[in-house]
This record gives sequence, C-alpha cells and structure tokens, in this order.
Amino acid sequence: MKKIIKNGQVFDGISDKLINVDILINGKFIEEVGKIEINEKDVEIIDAKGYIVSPGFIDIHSHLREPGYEYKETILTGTQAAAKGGFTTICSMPTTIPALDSYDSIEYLKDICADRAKVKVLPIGAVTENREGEKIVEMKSLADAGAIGFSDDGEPVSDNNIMKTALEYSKMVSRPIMNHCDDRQINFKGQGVMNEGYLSQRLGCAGIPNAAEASMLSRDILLAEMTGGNYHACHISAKQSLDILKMAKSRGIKYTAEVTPHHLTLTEDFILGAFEGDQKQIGENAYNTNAKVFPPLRTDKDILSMIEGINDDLITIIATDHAPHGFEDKMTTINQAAFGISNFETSLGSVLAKVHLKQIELTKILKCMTSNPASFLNKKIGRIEKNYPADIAIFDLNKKWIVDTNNFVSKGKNTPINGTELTGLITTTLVDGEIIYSINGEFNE
Amino acid sequence: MTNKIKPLTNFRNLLDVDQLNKSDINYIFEYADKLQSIAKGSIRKIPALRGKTILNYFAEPSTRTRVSFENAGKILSADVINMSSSGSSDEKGESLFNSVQTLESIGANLLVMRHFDAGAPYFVARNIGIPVINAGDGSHAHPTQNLIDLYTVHKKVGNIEGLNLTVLGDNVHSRVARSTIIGFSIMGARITICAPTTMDAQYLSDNSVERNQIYWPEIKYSDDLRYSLKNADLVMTLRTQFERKSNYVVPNINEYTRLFKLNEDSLKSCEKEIKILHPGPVNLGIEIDGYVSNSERSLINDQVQNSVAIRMALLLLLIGDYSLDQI
Repeated sequence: MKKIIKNGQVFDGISDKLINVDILINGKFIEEVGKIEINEKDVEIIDAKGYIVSPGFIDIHSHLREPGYEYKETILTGTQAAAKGGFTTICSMPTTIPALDSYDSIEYLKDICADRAKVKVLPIGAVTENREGEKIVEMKSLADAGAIGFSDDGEPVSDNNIMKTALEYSKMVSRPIMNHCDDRQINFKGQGVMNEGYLSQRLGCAGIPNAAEASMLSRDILLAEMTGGNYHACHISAKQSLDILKMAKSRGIKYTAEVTPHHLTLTEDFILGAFEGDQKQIGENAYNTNAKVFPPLRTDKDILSMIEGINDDLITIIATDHAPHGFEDKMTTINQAAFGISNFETSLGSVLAKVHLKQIELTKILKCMTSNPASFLNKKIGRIEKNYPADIAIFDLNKKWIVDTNNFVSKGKNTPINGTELTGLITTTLVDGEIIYSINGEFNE
Repeated sequence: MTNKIKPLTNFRNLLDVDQLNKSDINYIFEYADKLQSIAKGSIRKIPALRGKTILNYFAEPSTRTRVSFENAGKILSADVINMSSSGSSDEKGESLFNSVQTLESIGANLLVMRHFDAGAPYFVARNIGIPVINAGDGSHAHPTQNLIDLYTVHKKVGNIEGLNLTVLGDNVHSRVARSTIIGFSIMGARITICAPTTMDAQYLSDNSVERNQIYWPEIKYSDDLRYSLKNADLVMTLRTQFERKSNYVVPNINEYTRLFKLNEDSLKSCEKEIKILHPGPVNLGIEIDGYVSNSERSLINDQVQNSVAIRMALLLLLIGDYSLDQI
C-alpha cells in the first residue's frame, strides 16, 4: 500500500524555505511531491499537521561498537536510537574489535547490519592497519567492500608521511580521509582530559589545547592542497580551527568539515556537573565524566566560532560522534573515564536550540544533516524529491521535553545533558518507505 | 549534654579549602589549639572517637600525611585502618567505584583518601554515605596541608591578613600550590607565584584570562626569584616534581637550582624577616638549600608538628559527637 504524508511543512533537502506539500510514497521510493489528489482508501495517511517533514538525517560519524564492545552498544540498539533521533543513514566508525581495516571485516559488518540494523549503515574503514597509524590499509579492497571513507577516529593519523600517503593513495578510490585532529605532542602524550584553560588548571586536570586540534588541521589542510586528496576534518571544536578553515577556503583548498551537536551547544562548565550558577566553589558533582568527550567541550567563544563556521559554509556537516559507553566506562575518575557522549537521541533537540536562539536558520541546520552529508557520501539520499528513497524524519519543532537517559534506547546512557530541557522532538522516522519509529508506537519490527 | 555540633556550613566532606570561609578556618584553629595540648601532653589519648572507624585509603605513596592522620585518629581513640593500593584489590583490577562501596559496607565512619587522579575524592564523595577528607588528589588539591600551613603561620607569625606570600616552584603540577593560594587568599594574604614560565599555571596566574565564577584570587607571577622575595613575609617552596612532567620543562636541574633554589644568597634580597614553609617531602639541594631549611627562619618542623592537631580537629568536626567545651 502506498503512503501519503499530508499537511506537513516540508523541507526538501536543499531549499531555503519550507513548503506545504504532500509526499506520496510507493514502496521504497518517493513517487510524487506536491498537491496530490488521491482516493484516501487506497493509501495509508501519515498526518504531519503541525510538524516539519525533512529528509531523514544522515550521520557521517557514529560509533556502533559492534563487533567487540556489545556491552556499550549493538547494531540493533544503536540503529534504534538513530531512528528515534530521526537518522535514516549512519556511518559507523571502525573503532571496533577487530578494527574495520580489511575487506572481510567490512563484509562482516554489512552482514550483521543486514540482519539487525533498523536504519541504513555505511561502514567507514580504518586509515591504517588496526588504527595504529603505521601502515595504510588496502583502500581499494575496503572501498570495493563498501567503505565510504577512511578514519582512525579516536586516534589521529599522527605521522605526517602516512597522512600524505593516505591522501594521495585514497584519490584512486575517490573516498575521503576523515581525520581526528589532535597533535599528541601539544596534547602531551594524549594525557589531556578536558579543554585546556582556566578551568582545567583550576581543577588540576591535564588540558587539551585548541592548538592541538588546529595544528594538526593546518598540517592536513596543507597536505590536502599539496596532494589534491579528499580530506575531511572530523568534529571541529576550536576557534583556531575555524581560522584554518577560513584560510583553506580562501586558498580554494578542497576539504569538508563536521561539527557535533555538543560542540555547538555545550561549554566546558559541564565538567563541573550540576551546579548552581552562582556557586563559587568546586562542588561534589564536579569532575563529571559524562562531560568528558573528545574533542573536549570548550568555551562560549569556540561555540560562537562553530556557529559562524556553519553560517559561512566553512563547516557544512553536523555529525553526532555518537559514542555510547557502559556504566563502568564512566563511573570512575575523570582521568580513567572513557571519552564520548551518547548522542543520537538528543542531537536534533540540541541543534534546534541554535534555531530557537536565532543563531542558525532551520533550513541551514537541516541541510547540514541531510543533503550536505549526502553529497559528501555521493549517495542519492537526503532529499525529498521524486525517485529518492523514502527516508524521512518528521518532527515537532516546538515540543519541549526533558532528557531522561532511562528512556534512551541506546545502551549508552552517557550524556551531560540528562535532566535538561530540549525543544524539538522526532515523531516519526521512515526508512525506505517503512515507518521504523513513531513516537506513539515506538519501534516497528 | 551531647550536642552534635556542625558549626561549619555544609561541612559534610573536606574536599578543598574553597568550601571554607575565614571564620570556618578560625574555628578550626580554635579546635586545634585545644587539641594541641592533648597531642603534646603526657597521656595523649582521649576517647572522643571511641567506637568510630577511620579508613586511610592511599592510592599514592605518602609518609607524613598518612602517619599524621593515623596518629590523629589514634589519639582520639578511633580505630584506624590503613589501606594502600599495593597489596589491595586495586591490583586485581577492582574499580575505584567498587572499592568505595566495599569500604562503606565494612562500616567505616570516615574515609581519608589520597589518589593520583584529580577529582577522585569528589567522585567518591558523591558515591559514598560517609564523610570524605581529601588527603591529596592528583594535581588538584591538598586542603589539610593548607590548613596546617595556615595554622602554623597563625601560631608563629600571627595575623595572616595582609602578609605577602611567595609560592616558589612547580605550581602547574602542585596540588599544594592550588590549596595554598586559595587558603591564604581566604585569610587575606597576597600571593606571588615564582616559577620558570614552563612550571607556571599560566591560566591561574594571568589575571587577564577570562574565568568562570569558580573562586580564584588575583595573584602575581614572576620568573625572578630575588624580585619575588623582596617584599615577602613568607615563602613556600614546592617540591620539584621530577617524577611528573617537570623533567621535560626545564633544561636540567643545574639551571633550575641556579635560578630558583632558595638559599642564603637568594634570601639576601628579602627586605623583611621572612619565614619559610615547605609542604614536604623536600628535595634537599634542589628547591631549597639544607642550611636554609634547617635555619631559624624555617617553619618546616612546625608544619609537621601542627599536622596532627589540625587533622584531629577535622576528624572531630566531621564525625565527633562532642562540642569544643566538652573536650
């Protein structure tokens, strides 16, 4: 049976405004967009009155943890969480055991995803064997298996020559090298646990300076210019990094860059835990490990730079860096705790704060989550247009709700915004024309 | 009459001195004065904490802090259990969270803890139902040491208000430095940091850095030892922590000592009668000259002597059932 989405305000993926049109879905594809006259007995009606209808969100940076860390997340729970957050295509980083560094491991991931995934999963291969930074992977084989790009995420590609080689070699497969920029000499031995600055020194914690990110980014940008390779900067967080991207743009150097919801919204003060605004001393809730993330939460100035980056098209992709962890990974000291935030289910509500605060236009935000990542992936997804797959997210822009990790479907309950109010919530998610998630019925098998 | 007294506001744990104000600190001094006579007396035992168990959990090596807490507990008739990382389940990979749950279940009334990770006592305090005293956490804080130092100056020099204190050495890695700066500022002293630029916590000593509302006083910084000693009433030399990052941040010990060692020569630039503090353990000959640390200007031995009284006071304030007059 065909489906029709009626009465919604539709964002088509590329326009600067929303339009009131109907969307007719036939099987896996969008058959027609516009004013559609059809006998209502012949179709299943999805009433989107009062809601926004967008292409399903595309996340080019997430961690599904399977195989290897099933206690943190599985393909099933991760993709359910993604669907609940409006994501219909997600790219999975190779931070698994084994790392996705071979044809077989990518094939294996595709196999288990075919069985268990609720949304489309695209694998990202490692840049180097076992993500150890020493020897590049068989990029052609991995690309043939379906790797959409290469990343040692979590670890930077530190060796300058390896990075240069990877950028050159990957040109043969036209896939990006996605680097996690962190100079492990400026971030001394990788010991930093939070943003470097007043707060890190006040708390006696090793800091991760903005310069550690911007320094490696500038190396990468210059190597991208030199090699003509396909370069993508993962989760940019520092003001200085934006300045490097400005330089890249002004020189016409080809690159793409992403920013996470948390680096658009949260400051390092979340490390202090729940605290009163006028509280002068470091309280018992300080050293909040749920605010430990890489790159670290930084300052208001950095957030303003990230907003500027989106508004000036220096950063064109919002990626979640969804990084679920188990209880024991976070229930420890700030030094011992794992980096990462469980992000799928709060991403939309987080980034919509930028819209409600009038810092970024709604359509701009949505482009960064739909058509922009789609063109990064070079896939025919991310639009509401005839013959595109019916991957659709429907959401209530103004719905206020309180984040409660007890209600997360992700196994990862690790977020610093538990208990806070967000505005904007997914009501329905369709993948290939099927309703995968709806707020009333939850998950459809 | 037994009235539980908790005169200090929100005094459930002692995590850092930033939770105390001037009158809180003076109150602790009053307590310590009274306890000092017991600690130095001939019987050296009162039953104030009889039936209570104090757990000393030291995940990092310590001599003076652990022994002084143990002594303080024993003088007050508490049962004191010492636990260190080596030889404990830490070595079997038990997590700090599980260890803490175990320690509480065992029935301890108070936990004294030293840990190599900044913030570890905060993590423990919010996951345990008994008071926690921070006996040093990573590079963050060492509040009991600071109270001992304040008490020592209070006894030997007098009013702390208006004194100039120079803190000399590796303040970026020093937990003592942070608590010293906060504690002495609360009591009204003015602080100058003297260190090589690479050992200075630049975001803490540069007053132009944008900060949030968490308390930190305005302090001065100098890389010139003689200049920073000129108006000083007090100098605190920090231990040079060559086991941390310090060995990478100065060319060698030789140049460090030439520029930053407190010795008779550098002390000539003092215009006032200066008193010397050192939280220990001392690297004799590196940050301080042996003659100087053993001279009359040195309060180092007083610091150690006062440590028991201050720690007794803190134990009583946190888990004691008697008021000051009843002791």
